[in-house]
Amino acid sequence: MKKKSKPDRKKVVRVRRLAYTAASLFFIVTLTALCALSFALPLRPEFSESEKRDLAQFPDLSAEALFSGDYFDDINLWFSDTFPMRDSLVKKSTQIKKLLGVGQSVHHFSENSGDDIPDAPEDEIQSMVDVSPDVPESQSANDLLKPAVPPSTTEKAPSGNGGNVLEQTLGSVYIYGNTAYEYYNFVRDTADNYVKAVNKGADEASKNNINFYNMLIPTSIDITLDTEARSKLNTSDQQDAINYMNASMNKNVKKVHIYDLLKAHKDEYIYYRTDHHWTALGAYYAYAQFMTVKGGNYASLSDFSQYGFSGFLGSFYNDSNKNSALEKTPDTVFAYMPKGDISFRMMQEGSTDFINWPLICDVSDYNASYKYLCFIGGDNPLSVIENNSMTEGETCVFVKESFGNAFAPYLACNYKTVYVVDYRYFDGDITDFAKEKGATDIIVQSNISMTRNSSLVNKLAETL
Amino acid sequence: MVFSSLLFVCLFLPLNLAAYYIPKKNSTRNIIMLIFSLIFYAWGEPLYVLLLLFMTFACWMFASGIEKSKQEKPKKAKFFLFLSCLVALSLIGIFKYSSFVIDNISALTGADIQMNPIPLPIGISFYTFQLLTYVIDVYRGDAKAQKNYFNLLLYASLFHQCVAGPIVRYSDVADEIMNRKPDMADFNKGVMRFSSGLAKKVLLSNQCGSFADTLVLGDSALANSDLLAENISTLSGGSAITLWAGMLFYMLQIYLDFSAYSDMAIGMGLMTGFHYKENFDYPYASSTVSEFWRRWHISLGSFFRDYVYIPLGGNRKGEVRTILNLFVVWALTGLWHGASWNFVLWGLYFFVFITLEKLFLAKLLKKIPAFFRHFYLLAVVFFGWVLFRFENTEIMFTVLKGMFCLNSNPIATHEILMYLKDNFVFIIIAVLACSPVVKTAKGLIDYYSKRSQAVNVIYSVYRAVIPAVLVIISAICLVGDSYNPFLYFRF
Repeated sequence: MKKKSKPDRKKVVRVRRLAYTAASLFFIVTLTALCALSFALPLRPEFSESEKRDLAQFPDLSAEALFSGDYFDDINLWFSDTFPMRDSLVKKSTQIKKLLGVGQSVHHFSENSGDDIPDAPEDEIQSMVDVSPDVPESQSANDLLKPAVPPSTTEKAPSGNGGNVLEQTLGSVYIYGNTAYEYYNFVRDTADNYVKAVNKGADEASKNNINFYNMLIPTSIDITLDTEARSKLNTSDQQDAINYMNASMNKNVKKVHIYDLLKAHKDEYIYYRTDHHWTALGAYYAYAQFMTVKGGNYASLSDFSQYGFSGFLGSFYNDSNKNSALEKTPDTVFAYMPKGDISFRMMQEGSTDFINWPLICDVSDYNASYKYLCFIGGDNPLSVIENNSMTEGETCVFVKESFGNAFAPYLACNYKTVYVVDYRYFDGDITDFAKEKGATDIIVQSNISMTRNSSLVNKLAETL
Repeated sequence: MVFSSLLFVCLFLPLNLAAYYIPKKNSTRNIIMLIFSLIFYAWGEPLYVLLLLFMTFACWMFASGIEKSKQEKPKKAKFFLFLSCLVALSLIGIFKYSSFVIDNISALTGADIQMNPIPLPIGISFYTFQLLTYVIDVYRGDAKAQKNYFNLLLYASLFHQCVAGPIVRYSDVADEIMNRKPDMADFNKGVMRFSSGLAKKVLLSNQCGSFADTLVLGDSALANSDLLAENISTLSGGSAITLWAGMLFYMLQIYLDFSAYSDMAIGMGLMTGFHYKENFDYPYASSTVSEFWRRWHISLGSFFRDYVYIPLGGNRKGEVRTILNLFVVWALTGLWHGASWNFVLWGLYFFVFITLEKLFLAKLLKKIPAFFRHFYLLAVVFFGWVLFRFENTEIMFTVLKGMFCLNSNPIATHEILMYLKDNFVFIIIAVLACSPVVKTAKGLIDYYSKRSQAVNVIYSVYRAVIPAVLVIISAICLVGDSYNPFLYFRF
């Protein structure tokens, strides 16, 4: 009996040997296939949709590059960067890593505490605007204009080494459930420089009888993140930081406090879950508060047409190696178009000509990571919103970074002309510019992450 | 070029294997391997390939001189041996150690000697040592001098081991260079060995490396002296657990990476009929430092044993001389890993433990339970890696102090605990990959395969597909991934 239950030794060896040979065969087939794929040049992509950047190019041959070895390094880079189907393979590799037990919830791990935030003297109490917007029904995007030309791509991720230092790069990202948050660490020197830049700009503006407003935008980690989860994280208190910076600003700066207002509406959809920006609804509250500080009526949200673009997977998603929890629940970008005859034109980086563009453009066909580009054509050095329904009205200069894109369209309800300046790409002096354009107001708006980035603050200081 | 690059896996290796198996003659295959090897080396070092050609030429010439004069004029043979060692060691001295020597002279004498740092040729430490074994083996009569320069060049430049080891001795492959018969059984073994090595590097080592860089800074940040203050501030703020975890990931990375390279080299050797000796034997499973070094980078340890320690007299000349010999061997072993004092310190750190073990510690360790012995070894090796990783002593001490909360840093932060919890499964997998558990499992499966045909069939199916699957998975992970560190650029 015993003998029968044991397989024939020879048979065992034969099966095994067959398996080994099959393994070699599959291995050779695999290498052959990979090799064939390597030569399939037409299948090689030139642009990565998911990383929003041009892929590495085959290097030009030069004696210097050849002898230094850079030429061959660049070929290696080109080879792997533009491999056929790279975007979907990169996505697959995230799934493979997940299977291997590589975690998904912390990215750009950092324990660096922010600097201590000095206690701020109590700033003037600003009454919080009591606004409960009547959100209109979403309309079909069919009546929106579809631009024929591709969107502005200034908001590309930095490519290669270095990249554009003026781009906002995300710090540590924390993922809680299906929502990502960016850490914020207060950097005293940089915050002080921000205040200094704003004070200088406000003094200049005041000499020319121009009102100067400043608004600091908190990010989602201090507004919408669950209080208990938030309390464990090593991220600086944004309310304290904002209070400190506001209190350090001089009398010429008209400060717009929006922290408490956003906090009061924290259960609403005021920040994206897969992207670091606020939503147009978050921006609307800030607009209402701004108009209250300025002393005017803010437009009711029901006066706008609402458009929704679903399937948005923003910077957090791309920056967290395509986190699957985020991927399962993409954001919807809602945009609010003021009614009336509004025209919009923009000057793209490197150009001196304005092109006409839809204020809110239909991004339904855009790639999942581009949907935030529906507002004012993305980040451009200079763009102009004109409300032609107004026969007369004020002019303002709105100095912003990308958070301002969702905010700018509201200003069209209260200003006849809005000059939108992205200080990261704009060359020139804002006060001179405002004087030249006959503006009555300069509005500077920054999300708090900008105030810890010294190169951005330096650029703002050059502009103000 | 490195084995774990997409270009190597998808292009170089398939073309190499195809070209290798077209001709039947060994000599033609040698030419093919030589061409591929020179391309491989020149891809990383387009100029320094000349240095490799020259050093091989010098050793080739001197070795034939040694062989011709060995019988009649032993003094002349010795002189040729001296010359070849002089040339090889001078070249490695100039290209690897000159900046280090000059920096030290400047520091000692206060003289301000300016010198442009010479970039280190990749693999110089590996091929220099290989060529040294060649001339010494010829001198000792363990191998015949190679008549054909190109055959010797093939030995020195063979891309399997030229840039990251193992250090293959000439006498071990002399016959195979002239006459080898790759067979199917070896090819099959080689396929498995290469694929698992590739997966180990790409899936496990690179990930461990990325964790280590995240927690205790990456090489490029550490190497940048302008960032010194920033680096110290980052590391001194890190919690104790962060630093321990970061160094643990580094400890995993360096074994997985290095042994993966050896696996790939041995595997490709088998595919083309070369048999290289094992280079790693689960070193972290050792229980004494002496045992660790018999199981870690075996080809380097045995090089120093056979070409330095024993010629110096080994342990045959009394206790004091033995210790002195050990001291020399370990200082050199340290220095071989990089031209910096921390590597010397690292070598001497092992000298201390090995000497203590020789004197009394080994006997003592035998008396304690195996678990504690193993713990002792892991602790010694762990702190060794701290010395190894941080070239700058200020940074090294910051990390060491931080591990015991002496930087007024916290024991743990919410972030690090979350991070570890999040990657817990991966950590277990990486730790298991460093242990002989897979080997044990394989033994068990073999045992049961002989008893149950079902087990045998299931395992055979798995065994048939796994190499291809590992290559495909590794290739996917290499697409668009810029993080692929090469740890041996200092060696």
